[in-house]
Order: sequence, then structure tokens, then C-alpha cells
Amino acid sequence: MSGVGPVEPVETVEPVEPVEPTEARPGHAPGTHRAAPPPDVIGTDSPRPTDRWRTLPPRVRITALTAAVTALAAAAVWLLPPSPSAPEREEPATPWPATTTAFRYTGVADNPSAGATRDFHFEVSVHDGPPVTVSHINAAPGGLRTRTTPPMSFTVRAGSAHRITVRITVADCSALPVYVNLPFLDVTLRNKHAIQHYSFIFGNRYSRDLSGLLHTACDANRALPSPRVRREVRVLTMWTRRVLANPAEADLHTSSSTGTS
Amino acid sequence: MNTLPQQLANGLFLGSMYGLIAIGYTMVYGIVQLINFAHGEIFMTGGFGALTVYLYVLPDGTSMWIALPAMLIGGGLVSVLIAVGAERFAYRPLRGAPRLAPLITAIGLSLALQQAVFNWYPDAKTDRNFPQIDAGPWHLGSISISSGSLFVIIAAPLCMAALAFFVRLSRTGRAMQATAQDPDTAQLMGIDTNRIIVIAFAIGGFFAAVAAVAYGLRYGQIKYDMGFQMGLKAFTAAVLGGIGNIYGAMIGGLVLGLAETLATSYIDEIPGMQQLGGGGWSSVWAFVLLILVLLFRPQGLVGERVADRA
Amino acid sequence: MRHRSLVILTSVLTTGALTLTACGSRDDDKGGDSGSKKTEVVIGVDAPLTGQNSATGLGIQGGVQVAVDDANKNNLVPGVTFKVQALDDKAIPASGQQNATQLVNNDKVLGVVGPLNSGVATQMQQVFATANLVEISPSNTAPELTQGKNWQTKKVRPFKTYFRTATTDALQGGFAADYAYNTLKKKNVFVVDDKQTYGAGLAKLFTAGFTKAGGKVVGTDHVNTGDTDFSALVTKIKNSKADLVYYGGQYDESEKLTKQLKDGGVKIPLFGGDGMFSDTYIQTAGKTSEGDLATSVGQPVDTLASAQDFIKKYKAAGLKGDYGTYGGYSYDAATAIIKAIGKVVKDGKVPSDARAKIVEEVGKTKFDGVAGPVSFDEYGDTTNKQLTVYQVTNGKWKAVKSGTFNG
Repeated sequence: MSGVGPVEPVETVEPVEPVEPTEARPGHAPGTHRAAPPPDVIGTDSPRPTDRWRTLPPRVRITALTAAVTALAAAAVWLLPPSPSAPEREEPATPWPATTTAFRYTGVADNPSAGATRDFHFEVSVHDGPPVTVSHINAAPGGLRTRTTPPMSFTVRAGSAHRITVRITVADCSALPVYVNLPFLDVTLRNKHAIQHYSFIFGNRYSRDLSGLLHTACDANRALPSPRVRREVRVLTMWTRRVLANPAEADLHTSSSTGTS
Repeated sequence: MNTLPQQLANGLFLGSMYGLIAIGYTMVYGIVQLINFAHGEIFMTGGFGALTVYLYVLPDGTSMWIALPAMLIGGGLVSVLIAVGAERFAYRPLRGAPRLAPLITAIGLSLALQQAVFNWYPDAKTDRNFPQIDAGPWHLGSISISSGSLFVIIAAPLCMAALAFFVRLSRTGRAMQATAQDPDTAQLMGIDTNRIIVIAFAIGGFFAAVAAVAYGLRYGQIKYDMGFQMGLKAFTAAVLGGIGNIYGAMIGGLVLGLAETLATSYIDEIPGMQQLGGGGWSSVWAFVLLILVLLFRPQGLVGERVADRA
Repeated sequence: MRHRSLVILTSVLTTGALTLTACGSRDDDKGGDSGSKKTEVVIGVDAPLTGQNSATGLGIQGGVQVAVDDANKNNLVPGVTFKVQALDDKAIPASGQQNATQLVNNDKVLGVVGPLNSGVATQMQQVFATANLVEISPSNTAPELTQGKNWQTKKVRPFKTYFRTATTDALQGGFAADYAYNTLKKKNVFVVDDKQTYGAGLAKLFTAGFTKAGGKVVGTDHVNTGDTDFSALVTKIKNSKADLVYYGGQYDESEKLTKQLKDGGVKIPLFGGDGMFSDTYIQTAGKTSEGDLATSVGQPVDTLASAQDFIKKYKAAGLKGDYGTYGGYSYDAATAIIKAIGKVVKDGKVPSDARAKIVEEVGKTKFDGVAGPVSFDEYGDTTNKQLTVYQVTNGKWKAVKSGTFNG
């Protein structure tokens, strides 16, 4: 009376394991391309050739084997010796400009009377590799205007350092943060390998000095633009004209990931 | 913006899923007085069964509207087979044994199933992505419903209604009630109790698979150990509602889901409770609720007080 | 079809033959100096290799494997063959501690790369320090690991055996905050973290930077690792009117959070740290990840000429995991250890105080690695402090801002 009914479905329990890869996959490998991560594909291909190999007629197998051995011999004799050295020759490729360039903050000019404008001194150095051309320097938070002396662009050779002064003017207080924790300079760097838009981030001293400037310029009324804005406009127009006068810089806006060498 | 309607909906979606899984615990308990701790893993294998159907059985690029029924059937098949197999080979031989024996077996089986999927299912050592319905979210007043949530909110009441009709009206259903009341007498009355037990396991397995598909659709991923947490929550839901009672399981699920959601959203708004609110504490509040309910109604929210038969 | 099987067969045979030749030559080596057999030295790896965080964890294992293969192939340390022993910590601190003990007890282990998680690292440091075994983490970013509990006021290095090639969250959190406030122009942020050492720490530092700049935190919440349902949290975020969500934690939770966020109709970007910078994040969240941001340590690997060769080898070896996040740093960490071993172990003879000497040598490390120059400061922190902000654009992480910290 008992046990007869349920035994039937129960017997089929073992085959439930088709969860296992080898049984479930072979016929449906294309399906794995959709959601499974790429490494999966490596696994799916492996069982197939063996199956197909066994079903091939003997003559085809012999031909294939011969071809394989020939290919192997060719590979061993001709391909192998140069291949290990070939990539090594490529290895000392030109580094990207950002990896060889360093910016160092050296201090702020002592002119607190300037109100919304202050001069910050930096030192640019390139430690090795080909010379790096620096063009476009911008202080990061929007609402600041930047002018650099000596004017852009300049080239720094490996082992040498270049002193620059970045004059930062507060143009619009409403767009500025109260305090700049990790201020950065956005620069465009170019060497013979590539053009890169890159940021140099500064802590402690520059952060303190720049925040000091923001306080002097904006504390009176943060919501309104700085009273110095008119002077700023002049600087801005100068800057724009200079960029237009130098068409070489127009291509600097191409993506940083395009190599040129 | 009033967030309460949305939060209630969130709780309902989550609770429906708990409820679907809780049915499996409660039906098995109601009939054989066994807490099937492997049920969380049956839920998990249902998810992987559905994923297998999608990845390896259906042709590439099948529309989800066609794939979904196939996945439900595939996942259901895997869950049902494992649930029934567990009953036949793990629990039935121990039917006369002390109660602790099948309980330990259930825990062992749970670990075994988890490790089997972990080791042998391709790339199951971490989360596997589950196919998604590319539609929604839909908006109903201030409530927004994602496609996965829509699935569970349709599937759970349908399953429940079907189960209620089945238990109440069909011959097998009534045989089930009889077996739950007194298995020995039921057997004397000509009911094949073994068959009834198998059916109880099968229904629990299928509901778990539906919940697993809902889980995959809602969260986008399934994982070899997802059965543990969901199983624990569903067991809590079953106890909360009154274990052994199928309506209790569903109600317990909904209450638990709502409690978790509301605890996440509102506890930290109570002055002085900021530290005890938020998502990190939702499970804690769910279990506090469980303890409170059990203190005042040990038989659960809708359970009936029955004399212990063991 | 036949044509294809022929190609496959050929490649199989070729690789087979090459493997055999390789074996042959190795045997020859052994025969050559039969008197002094090559000493086996083990580089330990501890990372989550299964479950949570395993995509990035496997990237660490793979990176070390490539470094060790390179060292063996180029005979970087004469008389020594390197082996990798990778242990799985499942991102659980207690497992990390057990693994550390296991590695320490194996005399052949002369250096360890790992772990991935800062929280795991806190439980491993003491074990390694007691045994004088050097540990380099490619990915730990919690500042207190190298600079002590009170790093904000007084930096003290707690463990002299611990080094890392990743820069700290003090920088990462601040950089993210600056980017969110100044570039993205976001003023109201909802901050979520996973209560772990890494996640909670990063979220705190982001919050500090963001509020200091003038932004507002409109809500905070915490999740548990392993949580899947964030619908209640999503509703809270929606209600808070935030224009950005910052998540301190790993991709495992954030990929689900962003999906549920967008499914819930909250169309604001999710911003996270290096724990979130993984291809798995995009694969899982799919279209809903579009526009999300993550900061990560180092420069994008594709802008590093040195990394191209590494990526090629990684892919050729068929290694799993996400090499994009820490693979290059793991390679550099392993190489730093191997170079240090090269200075201590001469002709395959391991001195009795090898481990202590290696710690000393690692401190003096200076070379150009695949992810940039490698050297450590007096706290064991990397001197190469680079950060990049990535954004999901057309289903890929795209670098939108790269920077170097210059003190």
C-alpha cells in the first residue's frame, strides 16, 4: 500500500545533476556568450574538438596530423627564436607624459592686498624620458581663473625643472567651495607618445593657501560675484586670444588615450 | 513626499517572496513534523535550474516573455526533483527515527547541496547574473514597481490561490488535510500517506523555484549561498504565521517583509533611535517582532494551538 | 567546421609540445646543478577567491601568478624557483587571520601579497609582524593600517612588516568629494556604507571632504554585506531629494543598489571607491550602471605602456578575475618581494633570518613597476599616489579624471 506511487519520480533523482557543466554545455555553447563572464568561453570550447575528432574519417585525421606536425615544426624552428626578443625590444616604449612629470608647490607670493587675486609658485620637473610640453594649466574648482607666467606652452627636458607662477583670480564665488580639501591643477601634457589631460593634486600647504584666497575674496558675500570681476574679464580675453592665435593647441582637446608615436 | 505607500509596496514584494518559500517549510512541517532546513537550498537550486534553462537550453536571444515560462518550468523541475529526492532518500528512511535525526540530516543535506552547486555549476563560486526583463519600472500613483517586483506580485497570489483551491477542493488536497491531522488514521482510511508526503515536498519545491526566479529577476543575481539567508527568513515567516498553516506562511511572509522594510525606513526617524535604524538593523527588528509574537501567541499569528504529538 | 577543428588541434598540439619542451628544459636545469637543487620559495597570496569580492580577489591572485611566472622564466633570482600559494579569505577577517597563521608556519613562505579588504588586513598584520614576514597589500586603503589609529593628528606606523602599493582613503575620499562637489556640481548627497573597515572609513572621509567644501549630506544609511534587498533604502533616497548617492563598500552590494535605485525611478548616479571599480559591477547592473562613478587607486592600465605586456600575459595565461583594478599593483607587490628575496637569498641559500632581512629590503624598494614607480615611505605607504575617477560610459569604465598627489 505504501511506497509504490512515489518511487517513480524518485528514481530520476540522480540525473538532476545536469547542473554539472560538462553534460549541459556542449550543444549550447552560444548561450554562454550572453550572460556568463568571458572566461567561461575557454571552458566551453574544450570538449568539442575531441568529439569531432573521433568522428572524422581516418584520412582526414592523418592529413590533419601531418599538417599539425608541419605547423609545429615551422613554429618551433622559425617562429620561436625571434618571438621572445621581439616584445622585449618594444618594452622601453616611451612612457606617458603624466608618469614622468611632477609638479611641486613651492609657495604663495606675499601680496595679501591683492584681494581676489594671488600668485602661486610651482616647479615642474620631468624625471626621465623624452621632453614634456606643458600647455593649459587650470586651477580646478570652477569659478577660478588662471593665468600662468611664463606663458604657455613650455617644454621641460628630463632632469631639469621649470619654475612657473600661476596667478589665480576668484571670478565667481557662488560656484566655489568653502574650503578646498585637495585642490588640483588640471594640465595638458604632451610628449612624443601622447597628449594627456592630467591633474596634479596638492594637499596641506597649497590647500591652505588656496582656501585662504577663497576666504579673502568671498567671505563678504558668497552669493554674489566678486567685485574684482571686471579686471578678471580682461585677463580672460587675453587668454582666449592667445589660444586662438596658436592653432597648434586646438588639437590638444583630443582624447588623452590616443597615442601619437 | 509621502513614502509610506512605496515602502508598503516594497514590503509586500519582499514579503511575497518570503511567503512563497515559507509554504515549503510549513507544508512539510504540517504533514511530517519535520523542519526541512534544506529547503533554502531547494530554493537556490530552483534559481540555478532556471538559469540553466536560460543559458544552455533556450537558443540565444530568446525573448524574456517566452523564456520566463520555460525557466519557471525548468527551475520548478529541478527544485521538485531535489525536494522529492531528498524526501525519498534522506528523510523517508528516518521516518521512525527520533526527531533530531532527520533535522541533522536536513542540515547536512543543505550543506551538501550548497557545496555541490558551488563546486560543479560553472562559475558559481561567486554571483551569477540572472537574465532580466527589459521593461519598467511602472508607476502606480506614487509607487514605482520594477519588472521583477511585478513578477512576484502576480505570481505569489496566483500560487497561493491555486494552492488554496487544491487543498480545499481536490481529493488529494483533502487527503493532505487528513494526513496532517492524523497520519495513522489517514492511512487506515486508505490514504497513501507516502504519496501525500511526496506531493507536499513537490509543491514546496515548486513554490521555492517560483520564489527563486522572482529573486533572480528582482536582484539580478543568484548565488550558491543565497538559500541560507532567504531560507532562514522564510522559516521565520512560517513560524511567525504559525507553522503548519499554509495561510499562516503567506501572512507571516508579508508581515516579516513589511516589518523589515518599515524598520529600515522609519526606526531611525524616531528621536534617540538613529543608531538602531536603517538597513543594517532591519533583520534585528524582524527577529524582535518574531520574539514578541511568540511571547504572546506561541502558535503564531494564525496557527492553532495543537498538542505536541511527539 | 573541419577547418576549425584542424586549427584547434594544431594549437593544442603546439601548446602541448611547447609545454613538453619547457618541462624538458627545466629538468635539464635540475640536472645541471644536481649538487645544489633549486630552492623553492613560496609567495603567499591572501584574497577572497570565492564569493564576495572574488572578481577583484582573483585579479590579485592572477597578478601575483604572472609576476612569479615572469621571475621563474627570467631566472630573476638564481637558484630559486618561486611558487604561489593562494589562500581564500572569503573577505572574512577571521579567515584572513587563519590564513596568515598558515602562511607564517610554512617556512618556504618568504613574503605575502594581500589581502584585498582593509578589515581583513587589521586581523592579519599582527600575525605577520610577530613572524617578521613581509606583507604587501595591493589594495588596502584604510589610512590606519600604515599610519596608526590617530593618523589624522599623529602618524605612527603600527607594523613594520606591512606595506601597500595602493594609496589611502584619506586621499581617495577627499578626491571623490572634490570631484563630486566641484566637477559634478552635486550639492546634496546621500551616503551609504557597509559598516566594514574599508567602506565605513571611506564614506566617513568622503563625507568630511564634501561637507568641508560646502556640500550637504541629506541622509545616511548602512547596509550589511550580503544584503540583496535595498528597496526600502531606495525609497528613502528618493525621498531625501539627493542628487548623488555615495557608497562606501564593495561592488557586490553596490551593483544591486544601483540597479534597484534606477528600477525604483531614482535617476541619480552612484559614486563609490575602488571596491566598486570592477567590470563585474557593469555586467551585473547592466544599463542601470550607466553614469555611475568610482574612484580607483592608480592610473588606468591602458595608459601605462608598462602594463600592456602584463595584460597580454594575464590574458594569455587564461587567468580569471578582474586584472583592471589591482592586477598591476599585485604584480608590482609580488615583484617587490621577489627583488627583495633576490638580495637576501644567494645561490639558493636561505639565511636563517631571511624574513627579517626581506622586510628591510622591501622598505628600500625602488623600481618602475607595471602600474608606475614602486617605492615605500617611512610608514610603508606607496610614494606613487595616483588616483583616477572613472565613469560608466556605454557599458565600460572610462577614465574621466586622473591625478597624482604631490604632498
